[in-house]
Amino acid sequence: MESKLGVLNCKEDFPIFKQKIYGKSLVYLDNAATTQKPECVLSKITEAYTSINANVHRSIHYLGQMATEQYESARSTIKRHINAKHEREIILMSGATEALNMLASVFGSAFVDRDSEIVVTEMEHHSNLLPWKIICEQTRAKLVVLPVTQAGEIRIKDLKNVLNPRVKLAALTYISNVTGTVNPVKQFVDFSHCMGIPVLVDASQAIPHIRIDVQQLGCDFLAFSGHKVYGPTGTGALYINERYLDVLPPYKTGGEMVERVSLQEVVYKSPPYRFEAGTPNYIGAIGLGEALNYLDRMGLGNIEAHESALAQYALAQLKLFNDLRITGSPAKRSGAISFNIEGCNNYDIGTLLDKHGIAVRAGVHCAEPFVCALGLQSTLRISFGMYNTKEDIDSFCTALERCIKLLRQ
Amino acid sequence: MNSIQFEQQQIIETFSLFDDWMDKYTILIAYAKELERMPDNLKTDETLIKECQSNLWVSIERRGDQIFIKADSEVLIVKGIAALLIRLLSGKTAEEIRDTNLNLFKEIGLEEHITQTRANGLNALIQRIYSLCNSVN
Repeated sequence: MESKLGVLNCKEDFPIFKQKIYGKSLVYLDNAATTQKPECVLSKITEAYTSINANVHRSIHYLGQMATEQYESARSTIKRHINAKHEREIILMSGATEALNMLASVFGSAFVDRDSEIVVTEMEHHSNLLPWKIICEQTRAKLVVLPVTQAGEIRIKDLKNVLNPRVKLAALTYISNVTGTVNPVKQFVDFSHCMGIPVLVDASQAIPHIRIDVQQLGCDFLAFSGHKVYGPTGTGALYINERYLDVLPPYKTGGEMVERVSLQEVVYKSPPYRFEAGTPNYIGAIGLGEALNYLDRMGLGNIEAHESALAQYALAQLKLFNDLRITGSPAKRSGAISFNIEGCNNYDIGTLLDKHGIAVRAGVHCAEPFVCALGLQSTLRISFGMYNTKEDIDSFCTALERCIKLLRQ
Repeated sequence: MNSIQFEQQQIIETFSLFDDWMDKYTILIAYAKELERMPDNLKTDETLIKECQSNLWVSIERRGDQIFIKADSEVLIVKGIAALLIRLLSGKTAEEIRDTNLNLFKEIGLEEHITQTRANGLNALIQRIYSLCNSVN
């Protein structure tokens, strides 16, 4: 465990850690909310704005061509990173929320009616629950919710019980942002595909922690946000398997997604551009490409090993606290650990930890049905990034002990 | 200086004895734990000031020309803030409250140390108290 914990040592790559919070070193344990950015990403953004900034896909001038080239290069990087087959399967978006809302809308238009069912799980982030709830309300389709166990897992046998010819799509999160549960995505996809049901994977929490291979998983759709994988805010992608690309209608309409427009007829561009109306966050996308390149340079295997060792260490330390209950007990976990402490309010602890320079999150983490299903009102959550260290965990535990003592005085 | 201003000054001086915010929170939490219990029947939708999973109930009542405040919260720090308000203002006359410049939270530095939503909620609460005082004539 010790040797894996030292394998990354990359905090110096992230400028934000130079600053003090209330005079203390920053211990950032809220990576499930958003991640910090390495210098190379920040430099890439500045370089893009200062050397090649021009609108993409429209210009005949040098700057426009350079910007387009780098924007499309970012698309290629994302394609390689998740092992998609074609660049056109990567739709560049402002984040997972936009991606999931768009997919729900266009998929709903094309395939969902009052006789349909959509399957989601009880552990979904609101971004992968509410869009489907709304589509079902609009079409009078049925929303079927796969329950979670008290361990914070879904069961494939529950999935088998709900799959039937009326189900048009099954959606699940790869990794939970509350309990860190790693779901059996491949199995989920295989069973769904046996019944001809396409699968959407919300990879927002998975993308920074594990290798994602959409061809190996076989999923039909996959979404993630750039800001959760060390990239800029306002970036992300929706992967649409090629078999769905030409059957889904456009979502946002406007500039640059049309071949020609008259008042009588509109001919839309081919994917991915059909789904990318308006001026995209091209500088952001270029920054996201750099973030994924940085991840590749560090080695996802190294990151996974380091974070796994960190999580094991953190769990062992947390178990030493009396009256501390870890949320869920999934067989496979990554990223986030949630817990509650008897007699202490999570907002009090979070506020007091903040004064130690320690950033955690308290609440329902935009997954209220999941937190309620586990019998809780809220949790305190720590979530790891590649720059977190054993010393971060030690500082967190020391501060946590002090906070509990103060609240219980 | 009226009694509210005197008490406010005393509280400011108590907090100023400590530089470390953990010590200031210790005082705030002590105030929270001393706060008189708010009866459950007063915890209604009308008295609830809700902020993401950290509920605060505040009931403000006028009896004659006096204002009475009761409060409770699941969050000790928030309850402590309410306790300070109650200590200063509850049982006082509307005239005394109107004549007081309530700058306690700014002077002890609390405004910089609570979330924007909570600060907005606190300000809204103080405004509610003042407008109730202004309606007493």
